[in-house]
Amino acid sequence: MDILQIVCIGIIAVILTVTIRQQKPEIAMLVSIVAGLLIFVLIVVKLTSVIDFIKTFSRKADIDATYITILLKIAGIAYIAEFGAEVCKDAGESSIASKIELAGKVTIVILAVPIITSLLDLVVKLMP
Amino acid sequence: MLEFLRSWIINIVTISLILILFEIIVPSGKIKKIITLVSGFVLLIAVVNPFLQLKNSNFDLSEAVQADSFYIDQKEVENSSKLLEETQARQIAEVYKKKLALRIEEEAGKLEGVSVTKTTVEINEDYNSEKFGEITKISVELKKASKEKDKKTIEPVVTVEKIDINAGLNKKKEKEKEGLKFVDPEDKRLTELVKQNLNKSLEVNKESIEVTIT
Repeated sequence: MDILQIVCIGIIAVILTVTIRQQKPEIAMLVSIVAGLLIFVLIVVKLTSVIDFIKTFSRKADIDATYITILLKIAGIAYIAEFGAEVCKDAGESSIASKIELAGKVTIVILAVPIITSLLDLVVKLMP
Repeated sequence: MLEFLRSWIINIVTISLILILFEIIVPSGKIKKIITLVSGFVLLIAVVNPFLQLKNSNFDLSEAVQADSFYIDQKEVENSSKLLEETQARQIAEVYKKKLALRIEEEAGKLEGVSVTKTTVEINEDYNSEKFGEITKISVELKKASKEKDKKTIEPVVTVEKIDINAGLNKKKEKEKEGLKFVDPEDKRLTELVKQNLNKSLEVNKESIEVTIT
């Protein structure tokens, strides 16, 4: 039933913004941002169950927890950066949106550097 | 051997399943490309890692990750501390300049019949050098109080140069005369006093003090 809630919130926000936009475009923008935040919060709560599932899954298969934590961190950063970029794009500031995306990419690469170096280490150690 | 193969295959299958789940979860955008790259690396590590155990040398990913992230953090802290030092030095120089200007104004304001209109202080702002904070130049603008103007004092006369009647009109001398400027002895005295005061109180070379009286 949650999907119904989310879709309703989305449709109501769209109707509101369309009607308000002619009179007050700045308030229409605010409405769209708030609707986006609401949907985001509703979805993030659901996401915890998926993450829990992944964690138990990996524990059962005896996978190193470091892989999972790094991947989860990367996913979180991607979510936050994408959300911020989308809000900026909605407000018509696509240049700021692209900067936010750039920041997200840089942080993800910083997180990924240990993985890349450890891969290199592995290859070097494998060589006779 | 069979046990090793079994755990290896289970590992690969679960990690690839988790990665697929991840790719579904991750928002579709420009960042997705990088995430697929990183997840590919993770899968590669999971595939290669058991071979190391076969060679009897252990490889701990979490240790490597920690070492690398520690290195990155260290670099970050170093850079930010450098930046902080610079801004701190700049702020110190700014405050020092302001206080110096205030003190100079006080010092010069002690003289009677004179008010300070503007003081500028230049100091050595290179925080790496040992002489950081050394005063390089002081310029003080003084204004005579209006009271003096009201008093009816005898107007000073331009100091007259010796007139040489006999000598033919030397062009050079004429030019010199044109360049002659009237210097009020009172102004001279005030300038000297201000310079002396500043020299005493701040231990600044007299040559680097500039006083203008308006």
